[in-house]
Amino acid sequence: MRDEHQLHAAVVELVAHTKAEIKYSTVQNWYPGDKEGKGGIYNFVTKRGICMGDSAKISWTQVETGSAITWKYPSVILKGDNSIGEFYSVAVTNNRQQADTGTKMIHIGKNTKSRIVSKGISAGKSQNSYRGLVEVHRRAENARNFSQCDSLLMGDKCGAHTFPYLEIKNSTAQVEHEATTSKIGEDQIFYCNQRGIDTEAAVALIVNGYAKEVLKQLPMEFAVEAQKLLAISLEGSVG
Amino acid sequence: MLSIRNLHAAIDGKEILKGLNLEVKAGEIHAIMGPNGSGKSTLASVLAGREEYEVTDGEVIYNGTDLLELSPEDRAREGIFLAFQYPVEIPGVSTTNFLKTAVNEVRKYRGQEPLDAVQFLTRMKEKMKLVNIDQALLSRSLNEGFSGGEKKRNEIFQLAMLEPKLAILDETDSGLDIDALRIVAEGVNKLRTRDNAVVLVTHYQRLLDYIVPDFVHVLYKGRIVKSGTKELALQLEEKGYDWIKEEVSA
Amino acid sequence: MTTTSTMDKADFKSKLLTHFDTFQRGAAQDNSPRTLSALQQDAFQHFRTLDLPTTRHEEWKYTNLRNLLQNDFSFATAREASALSAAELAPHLMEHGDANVLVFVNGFYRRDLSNLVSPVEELHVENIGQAREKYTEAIDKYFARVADYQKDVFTAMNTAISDNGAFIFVPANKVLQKPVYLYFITDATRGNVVSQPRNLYVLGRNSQATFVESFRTAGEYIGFTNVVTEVVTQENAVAEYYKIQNETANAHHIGTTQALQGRDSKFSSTTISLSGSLIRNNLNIVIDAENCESNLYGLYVLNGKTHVDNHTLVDHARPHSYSNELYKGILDGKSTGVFNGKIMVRPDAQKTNAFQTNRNIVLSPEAAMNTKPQLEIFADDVKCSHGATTGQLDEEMLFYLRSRGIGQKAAKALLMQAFAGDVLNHIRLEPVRNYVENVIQNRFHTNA
Repeated sequence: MRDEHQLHAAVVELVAHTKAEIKYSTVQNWYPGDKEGKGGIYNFVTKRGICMGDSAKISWTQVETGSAITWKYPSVILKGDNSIGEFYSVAVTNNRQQADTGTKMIHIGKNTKSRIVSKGISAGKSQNSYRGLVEVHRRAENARNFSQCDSLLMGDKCGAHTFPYLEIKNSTAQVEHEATTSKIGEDQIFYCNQRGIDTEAAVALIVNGYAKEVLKQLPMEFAVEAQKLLAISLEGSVG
Repeated sequence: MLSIRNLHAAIDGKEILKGLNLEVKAGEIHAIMGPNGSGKSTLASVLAGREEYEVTDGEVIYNGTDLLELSPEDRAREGIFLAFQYPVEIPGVSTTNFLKTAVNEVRKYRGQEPLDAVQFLTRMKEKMKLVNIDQALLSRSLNEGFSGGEKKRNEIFQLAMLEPKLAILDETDSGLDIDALRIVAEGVNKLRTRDNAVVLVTHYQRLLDYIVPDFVHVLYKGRIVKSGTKELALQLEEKGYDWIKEEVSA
Repeated sequence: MTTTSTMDKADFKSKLLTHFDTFQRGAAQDNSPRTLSALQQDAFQHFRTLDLPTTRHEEWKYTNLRNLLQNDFSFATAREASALSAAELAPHLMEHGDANVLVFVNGFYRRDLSNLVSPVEELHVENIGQAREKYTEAIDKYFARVADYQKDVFTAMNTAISDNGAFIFVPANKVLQKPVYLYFITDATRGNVVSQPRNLYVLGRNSQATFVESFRTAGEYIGFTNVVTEVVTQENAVAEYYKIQNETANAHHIGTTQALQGRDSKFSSTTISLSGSLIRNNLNIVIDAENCESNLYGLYVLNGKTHVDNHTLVDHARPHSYSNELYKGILDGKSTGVFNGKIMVRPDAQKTNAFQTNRNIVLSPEAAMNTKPQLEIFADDVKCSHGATTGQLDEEMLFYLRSRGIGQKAAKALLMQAFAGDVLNHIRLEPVRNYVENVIQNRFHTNA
């Protein structure tokens, strides 16, 4: 059973009417397979939301640490005027895992806003991709988007990839995109060691600091869980 | 407390320390000076356990144990503190959070209960006064975007929080204006007790006007070639290192 | 159009060339044992071959010198015209309290108006022209070695002609307790005048000192100040440098401040421009050693037709250094501003941290701001950032203040003071901060 793959294919749809607000949080730690990539869940999920009415808000928050392969793009269609869409994501991959995740923000109404914060962490021989679309329709006056896509690499056999798509058809749109790629440096780990913090704890500290912006979006009890999960998923990946 | 005998160390196959001897007793302050590239920072790194450096010969006994056998974190937990020449930046991790983790890891190792949030904050407030550092700086990501002076003061603040037995200050005085230098020196002086020791690695005699050492050593070509008291440092300031080099080659 | 501008340039330049000849002869007739140095001759040769810049030069794209260069300047009379009395001078000084004061009128040192209070162990001062005798090593090593007269025509002009200005040396391990105020007064009460001070400040190993350069023009004629200041911080030295410009509407200023930093040294510069006709400030910092810190602060509060151009360069050539730059401007009336900030990180300069910010508030539709941040990074393990904004006062903030009963004028003044405060808070010398705050406060309350 553990040597084979299982499929998890879920569909979630959210509808927010006028002035309604939905916050949807996920922490996923399905079986990722063994170190060599044997077994594990295929996690192919469809998640969509629509802000139907004016001033509606949908916020997706996800912490993805498990599954052999994850394909997942929680999206928001911003149809109502002044509606808001948010996507906060931390995706951790280790060993042979693959995660391909991101979001779509479709701006249709006027004065719509979206915010994307994606934090990828790759270790071992894993591959981690952000794939996202920001689309501003012709009549979507004054649309605003801010995207931040950061990647953190541990070791030199893993990969991080960023595929942002921006399709802007209205000149009043303000779209900002920021991306960084960094490495957990030996010198950071040594600095922690020198203060009495062992390497595992140092990695947990650095990773949680890096993912803080997303983790703080989670409900309290989830956040504590997620922090521990990050540490466990990365166990043995440095040193 | 610390006994270094015939220490040889290399990086990338190149020998930097070539038979270094040093004895440090509790309550003492030692200053290690020397021209650029003489091995001062290598010594500090080897004592703290930086892995790039390979110890090829000799021994380091610290309070009766073989220091070189210990991992970097265990050296820290045993009371060795290195104030880094170039403190490292860790984005997203506040100084407060970092130190809370460090203090409690050290306590765990020593079989002590972790400090709770209130106890920790009380201790922090007390030590903050010592080095004149403010709360805003401690809430920011560790060392990120700090100026040189802020980083160095933060190192001394960490020193105060961790209360080590042996503090090694690697060029902590470099790049400080006179006010910052005084704050750093006062911090070190206030933390001085009969049971702990300080090793100052420095480039500039000026620091020794504020922290008075019991011994001054000159490191040259990987070895301590001359030892003396504060007067030796004054001589070095006045005459430079050339006369030492001549003495060595003579 | 092109022809006239060429004519103007030729006029200005040919007059200067003639002046240089008389200057050279004069120096020989003076019974002075010193003749012009090879370096001055060399600088003069460069001045002869270099073009005066037009807006077609990339570095002068937004600053047009035509109005300046078409004026009829008399180069020869600068010394005779520098007879300002102590009473006439008084309104140009700050309330600097107990400090070292050096006064230069049209570039010439006025011993009668100057006063040194620091002991001679801490502070050595000479006229730059006579400094070589006593300070041969420092002059040979640093004078005109740092500021590039081979490429910059105004630096060449200054290097060739001027041998008046301050040479200041702070010996190793000395902390200068009292700051040095240098007043550069251009006396344009009797005619158009060119003033060319030349300064070199050398801070020995482990030393620390503060310098304030204040630029004023007296009189209604046209003044042109072409100043070059070189600052050298040797190992572990700390220099604090202020440049304050509060000039007349007929005053032109082209200045270059060039810093060279040694290992573990710290150089902080604050440039404040309050008024003038045309002001160009070049600030170039060369970090050619490890573990240096440089701070560059700037504030320009402009109205009328004032034009201010701040060109800065931080050249990181060695690893582990930190530079932080913050320039802010408030532009009203028909004033125009330029910010051109370049950060260079050379391949060896790993672990460099370099930050740059330029923020501007444009209050009137006729005022304009041109900003050009440039980052050139050739090392891969560095942290660099830049940000630039130009906008109006925040309407919502203004409305919020007014809804609390604060009048429009007072509300605007409050917001502008807060905006300027980010820079003013870095001024550690109280007399300087008070002086600048007073000037801009009066400005905000009368203009807003």
